[in-house]
Amino acid sequence: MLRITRGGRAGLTLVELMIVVVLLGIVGAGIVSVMLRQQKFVRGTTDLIATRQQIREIAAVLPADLRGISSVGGDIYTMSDSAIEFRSTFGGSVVCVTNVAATWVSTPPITLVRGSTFTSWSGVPQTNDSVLIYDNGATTKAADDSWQRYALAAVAVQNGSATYCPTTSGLVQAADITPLNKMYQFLLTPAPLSATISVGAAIRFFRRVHYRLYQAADGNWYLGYFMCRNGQSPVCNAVQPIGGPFNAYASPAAGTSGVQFSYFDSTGTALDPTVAANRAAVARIRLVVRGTGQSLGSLSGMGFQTFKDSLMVDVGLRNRL
Amino acid sequence: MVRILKSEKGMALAMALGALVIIGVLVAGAVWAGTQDYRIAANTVRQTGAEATAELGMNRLLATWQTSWNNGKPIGDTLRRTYTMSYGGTAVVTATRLPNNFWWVASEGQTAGAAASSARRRYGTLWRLNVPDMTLLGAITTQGTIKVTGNVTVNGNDSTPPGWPACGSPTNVAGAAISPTTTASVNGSATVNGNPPVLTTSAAGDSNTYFNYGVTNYQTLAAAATLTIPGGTTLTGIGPVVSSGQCSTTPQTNWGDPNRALAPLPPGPCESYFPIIHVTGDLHVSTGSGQGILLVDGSLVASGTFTFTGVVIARGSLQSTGNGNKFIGSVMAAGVNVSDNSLIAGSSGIHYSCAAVTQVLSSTAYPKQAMQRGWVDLY
Repeated sequence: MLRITRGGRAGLTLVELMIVVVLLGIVGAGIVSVMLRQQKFVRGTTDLIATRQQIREIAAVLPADLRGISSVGGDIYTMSDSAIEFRSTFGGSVVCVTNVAATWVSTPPITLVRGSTFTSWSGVPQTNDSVLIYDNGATTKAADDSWQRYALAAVAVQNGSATYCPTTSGLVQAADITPLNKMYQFLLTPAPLSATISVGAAIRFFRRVHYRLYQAADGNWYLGYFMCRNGQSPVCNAVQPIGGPFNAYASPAAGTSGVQFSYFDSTGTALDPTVAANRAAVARIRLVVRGTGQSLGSLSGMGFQTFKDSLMVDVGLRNRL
Repeated sequence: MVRILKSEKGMALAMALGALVIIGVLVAGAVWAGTQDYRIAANTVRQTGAEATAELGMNRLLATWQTSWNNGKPIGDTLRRTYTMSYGGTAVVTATRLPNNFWWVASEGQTAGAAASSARRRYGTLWRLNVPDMTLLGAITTQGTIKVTGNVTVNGNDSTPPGWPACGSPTNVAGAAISPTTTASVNGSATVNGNPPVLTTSAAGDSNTYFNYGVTNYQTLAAAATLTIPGGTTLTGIGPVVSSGQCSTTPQTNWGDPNRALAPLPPGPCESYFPIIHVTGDLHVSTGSGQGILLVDGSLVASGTFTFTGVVIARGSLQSTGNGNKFIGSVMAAGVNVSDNSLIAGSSGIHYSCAAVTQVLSSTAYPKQAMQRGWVDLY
């Protein structure tokens, strides 16, 4: 007969059981505590990274647009510590044929055998976009040079032909002129075109754009953007957030505003943005972007707190002279 | 038979493993997020590096610009340069000549590293040759008294030297332009032609006419001189110097070659050399020929068979004597001293040439960014 003997082992006493439970509780609490800390750490890190990323995006996008401003050319329409409206150049080319009577100009093809990059844009110009064309003036002297402003009445993509860019212009070679190598024809308004706009004159395509720190319907503050074209309805698009959320607007003295613009002239003197005459003197724009995390986190061992970060970028205007 | 239970089932190991897994996942998440942050930051650094490289490339081309390129290439032709930066980035700069003294420059900056881990950025700039806006009132313009005697020809009617490109909008100017406070005397068989032959104008008495040229001035041109010659120098035998088929610009007597080889002959090596010659005092020159801009801080004395094509500006006077001196283009003698009276004698000739002036001024100019909107982002 099989007899099972429990090896002389005694059962757990209540005290032993209590001790085990307490020890397990302590260990469990420790593990849970570590896990919670880890979770908060991860959440905080993610929050910090997201905040930084938003700041960096703005600091990368906005300077690219600001850099091409010609303050002396009247590109800045309005400016303040939290907003700026200006002509944003989104492309350029050169004139290959100018037809004063029919009020159009055409450009060389985008791809050229010689490898010259005459035409480049972030998007094909559209009707109602604006154009500036270099006018060499009646003399060869620089003193009578100017930029003439027109609106695009129509944009036509033409098969490559000598009508729109002949080899006599010097800008293209015979191999460049094929039907597949498209050329752009721009009908301009108002007429007449300046008669002194000549072959090789530089073209700039631009739109009026507006950036500002604004509070959206969700209560957060974002950097908003809208663009305007005369002739379209409505003239200006509705504001759209392109980055954020950032800190709420505050006066420059507070030093906490989510997006803050400062303006300086060529000597480094700060300019009062409310003075209209200062718009033509801007040589440098300082952009400060400040963001605050959405949750508590602890990365520095200083206890849980919302993360704050900021980035300052100085943009020297390339077309100041 | 006695069976002894030696093991007990428990939760500790499972809990520990579970906790480790959860902590591992959380840590991995944090590492992933941190890596993403690092990558974004690294991309920003690379992008900024590419931008700086593209701009540095453009500036490098500008800093090393050679005036022989100004008119040395046909319209539409390109000049390509690759610059490797000390930090490893590379800029490929393409400059295309446009009509009317313009150049279109595109620079593509790329940071070092494999294509997948580098960044590119392109910028473009419209450059305009910084051509001096000189007010040339006549074949000769002087503030002091001018005496024309002997078998001299002074002609303000425009003419183009053989083989030189024609001027875009030629106009006739005065033969001699003088200040209202001075006189011009014509003696002997001298002839003065132009529109009018002699123009008395206050502009000839204005020092700005002689020393300020719109975008630049006399001092700036002198500072950019190709050749600087001490005052009091006497030079003879001015002419092109060719070494191994190349124009040798080292000798102080090489002032380029104004005598164009006509087709089908190939152009001379020094035909495209247009020096700015700055003399820091008086200059005495005889025999030979040259082209360019001649700036004389003192007076210029030409004593025979010397030909110069281009622009001559003397702070003092012009003394042209002997036979065969010829100035084609325009001459200005500021006569800054009361005693600076110009004398054109012998069989000298001064002929206004829009073509010579235009070619020389554009060939000695350095480019600068065109006004207001020269710079543009390329996509």
